[in-house]
Amino acid sequence: MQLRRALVPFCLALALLSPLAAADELTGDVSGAVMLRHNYYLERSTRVIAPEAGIRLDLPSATTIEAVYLIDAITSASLAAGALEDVAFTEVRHDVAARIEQRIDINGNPAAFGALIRRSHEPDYDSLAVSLMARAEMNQRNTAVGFRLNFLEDEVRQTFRGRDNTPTTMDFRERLSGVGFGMTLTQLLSRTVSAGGEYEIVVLDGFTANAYRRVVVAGTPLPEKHPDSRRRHSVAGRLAILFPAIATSLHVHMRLYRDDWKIRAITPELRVYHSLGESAHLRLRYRFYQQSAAFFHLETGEYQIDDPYRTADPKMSAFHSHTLGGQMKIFGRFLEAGRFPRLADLSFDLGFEYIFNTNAYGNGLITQAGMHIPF
Amino acid sequence: MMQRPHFACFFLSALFVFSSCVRVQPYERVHHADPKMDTGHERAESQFRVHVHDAREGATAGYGSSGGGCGCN
Repeated sequence: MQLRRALVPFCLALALLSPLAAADELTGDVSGAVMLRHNYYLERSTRVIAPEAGIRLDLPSATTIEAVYLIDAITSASLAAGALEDVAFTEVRHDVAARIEQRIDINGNPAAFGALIRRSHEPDYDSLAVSLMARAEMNQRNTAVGFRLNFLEDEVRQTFRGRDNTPTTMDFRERLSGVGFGMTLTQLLSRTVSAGGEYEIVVLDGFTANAYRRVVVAGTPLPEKHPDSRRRHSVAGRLAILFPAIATSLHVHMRLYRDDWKIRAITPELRVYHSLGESAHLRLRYRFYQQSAAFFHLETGEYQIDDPYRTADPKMSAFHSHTLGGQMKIFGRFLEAGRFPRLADLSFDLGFEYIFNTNAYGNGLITQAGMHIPF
Repeated sequence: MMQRPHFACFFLSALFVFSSCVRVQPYERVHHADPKMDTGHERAESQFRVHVHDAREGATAGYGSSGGGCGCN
């Protein structure tokens, strides 16, 4: 209901403001792109194969419409995913996202507003998320500001699976709702340097534990019990510097996080991009992540029966991780002089990342391959 | 430790101050359109990465489709 209330005024505003679209975009062709991507994730007890496909349409009315469909095939033997025995089973998650954006002109400054709706469904979890966004450029397009309002409504269920992979749905139904607000600022600092900042707050209310994971208390396995609300703050900064003489850019990111579960985290990240000729570049990425433990996490796991909260979630422990990866991206610029000049924007990317993780999940591997085909 | 909301206000205020001092002319912005600087083309790939971090770390944004099937919660 909260989502519907937010969506109605947005749709009305979109209808009213559409005629303000920039005049030079009122005549012209529909253009856009098709996006294909294959995602793969592997760790000790879980494997995820997630192909996705999307389409983006840029209309002459300065409207952009985008739709993406992703399907997750999650193979897991984890008790936290509902396995009754030490056997792997596969569960499928469907994820559909649709985005609409309208660009307008305010006193000669470009601006845009839009909405994103995302629906995810799997046998034991449904999620509906809506985001409303607005951004504007100013100061002769040297400065860009953006605002984002997010709403979330999830439903958590329990579906256990045994050796024959037959699902058994239990009489268990919990809700999780959330509201978030974010703002971003991007600023050009010179011909080769730009900076950006972001602040976000998210307030969650409802079931925040795992529906399957158990904590052994005095010899008896009991369900996890987390606080039913959470307030999360994060602030992030980014600096990008281009060195044209060596065809290389350096991006430095830093993210700081805290919430009222007493988790504190710091995430510095470094990316280096280097051109390999006119039509390709190589990206190297390093990310460090460190967090403190939630106030109700016990390293020993020895909870008492009257403890208000209990958890067996590795994400609630103090740990750190290192992520190291590389990506090659090839652009279709070599096609520009041929019969299909629009294919100059075609791109293909192939990348991998390895996560060295010190918590109970263990190390992980991400590989991705993607293609962007403009039309 | 400094309160994060205060830090956020300070950080964003500092960038606003910068914005009034710096003006890169349109003809000087060719480098900012370079894919090595403008990383908007990485949005699709980063979404999956964010989902992985969301499922395995306690401090990512934490909302939207963190399903139960992979033990994400």
